[in-house]
Amino acid sequence: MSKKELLKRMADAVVNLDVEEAMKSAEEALVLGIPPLEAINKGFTKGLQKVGELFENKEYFLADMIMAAEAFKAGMNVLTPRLQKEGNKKGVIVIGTVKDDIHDLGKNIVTTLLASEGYDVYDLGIDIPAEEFVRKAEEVNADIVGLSALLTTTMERIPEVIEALREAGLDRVKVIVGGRPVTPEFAREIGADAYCEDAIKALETVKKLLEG
Amino acid sequence: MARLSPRERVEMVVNHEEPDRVPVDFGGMNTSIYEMPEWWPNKTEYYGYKDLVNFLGLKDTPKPYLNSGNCVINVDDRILEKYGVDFQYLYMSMPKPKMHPDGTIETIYGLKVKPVGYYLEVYGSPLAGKITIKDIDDFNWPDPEDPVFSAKARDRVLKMKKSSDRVIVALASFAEQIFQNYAWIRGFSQMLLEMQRNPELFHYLTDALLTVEEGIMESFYSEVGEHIDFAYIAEDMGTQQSPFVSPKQYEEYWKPYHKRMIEHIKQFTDARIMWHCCGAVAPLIPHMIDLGVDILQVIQPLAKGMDAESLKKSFGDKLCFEGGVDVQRLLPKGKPEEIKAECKRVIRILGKSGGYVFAPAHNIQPDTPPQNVVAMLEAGIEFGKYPLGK
Repeated sequence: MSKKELLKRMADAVVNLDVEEAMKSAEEALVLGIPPLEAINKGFTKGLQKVGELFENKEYFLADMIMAAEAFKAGMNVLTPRLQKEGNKKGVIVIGTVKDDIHDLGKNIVTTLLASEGYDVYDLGIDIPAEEFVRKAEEVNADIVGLSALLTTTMERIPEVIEALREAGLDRVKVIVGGRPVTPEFAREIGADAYCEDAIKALETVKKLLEG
Repeated sequence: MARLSPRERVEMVVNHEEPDRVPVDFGGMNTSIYEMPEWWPNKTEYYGYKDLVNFLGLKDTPKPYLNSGNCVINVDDRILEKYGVDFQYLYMSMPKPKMHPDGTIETIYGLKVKPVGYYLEVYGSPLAGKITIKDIDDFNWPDPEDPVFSAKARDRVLKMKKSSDRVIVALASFAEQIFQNYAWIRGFSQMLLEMQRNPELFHYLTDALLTVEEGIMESFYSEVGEHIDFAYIAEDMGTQQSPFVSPKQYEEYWKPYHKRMIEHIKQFTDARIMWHCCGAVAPLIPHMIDLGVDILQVIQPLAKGMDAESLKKSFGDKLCFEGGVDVQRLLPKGKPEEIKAECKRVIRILGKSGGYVFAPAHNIQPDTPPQNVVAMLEAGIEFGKYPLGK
């Protein structure tokens, strides 16, 4: 099988929500000698992009998104041990769902995607108070803090985190925000650095913010 | 036409006939209005039932009682009379929640809730993470034979029947019954993943949940079944964009349990079925029709595919709709004239040949000023007379 065909097989595994096929194709990619990062970018990530389109077109449903993320993760788990941890870090990201909010479906996909790209991602989880975001960002010298909120009531926590980061002298940390009720206008109003509509946009944004 | 009773009016529209006017639902389950509990921490600005009462100039209103969604269950009868409300709701009594010293509240199924913003939100799933069949067996399931579920139910329904001729809708739950509970007990992502990756566990847990609910429903419906007009089921199945699962997945994994639940209810009552379902669920409506749902509540207009025209066109003669008045944007942000115009439009479309109950798509939210609520209620009687104008 040619490299091109195998990469397509990997993408299709994610689109077809096939966890086993994702793992098998990842193993074959290693056998074929495809660099793991390239395999992820051109194989699995392409698949996730297609899944996002299918979801927008109402052909795929929430349950499918979750399965796609599972397939993606399973394939990734085969490849990540082989990812060369180069001395120069690509970037450090702290991510979490804000206080009182327990939703994390989208955030988890973002975490998986960013980690697959070689970023150091610290996913704090759900229901995270502002102080914890600040503490972790300081501890790991974060470049970016990602904030997720799924309720209109918990959206209000996002500016609290931004304020807390500022008060702690962490102005250089870029803040990206997401979640269903969050809008570009809201992000602008509260002084976030970027609004990310979905995981793919989050990846593009992080790349732009850190690599120019 | 001779003056119709609420029962006759509602029966006619469910049978796709035009009575004297479009029936109205307000102050009921998921058609009521927010009010902040007195004990609520972090009180913030809001509009609620008290504002509506003041706006209408009503004195000596009975103290409002709130359900688990902080909505009023005993809206002043003068409001219901004035705006032609045809429904009254019979709530099942529930075990008292446990109050923990750290301020968290634990409800049935071991769900922990806490005040977030305006509502109680569930956080922390008691059966999260890696579990086995044994964990499900050992779970602290509620006891369906707990006398609390049937407590005074018959007395209450008989009292209701005596004091008002409004249609009686009975609700045998505190909220939703199968998949919402699964999502809360186990985790929402976990539920969807399990359904696809570990169907054996998924079916085992769903069956266990439904078996408990069947016991509870039996306790309740045995007491009130012959006196009620509608049995209410709440099973949300969609986001603002689409159903949680594909129609095929619904048919394979969820529908058999909904079918079982409805058949179980029908052992204890001849009542019709009212199904509450939030979200963009149009692809699942053919299944609901197949299950014998009589009234579908919510009809969330901003959810994809849930606009009045396409629903009436596709399913108008097979299902009776309730709701269709947007509470997400129109009611909070619109001006009274806009609200009236939109209510008129929705009534004209959905009310054609019956098959429609006028109601807000969901509870009136705490950012909705009272004049907007009144505009909606006035529109119901102003534009609801049959034959509907153009």
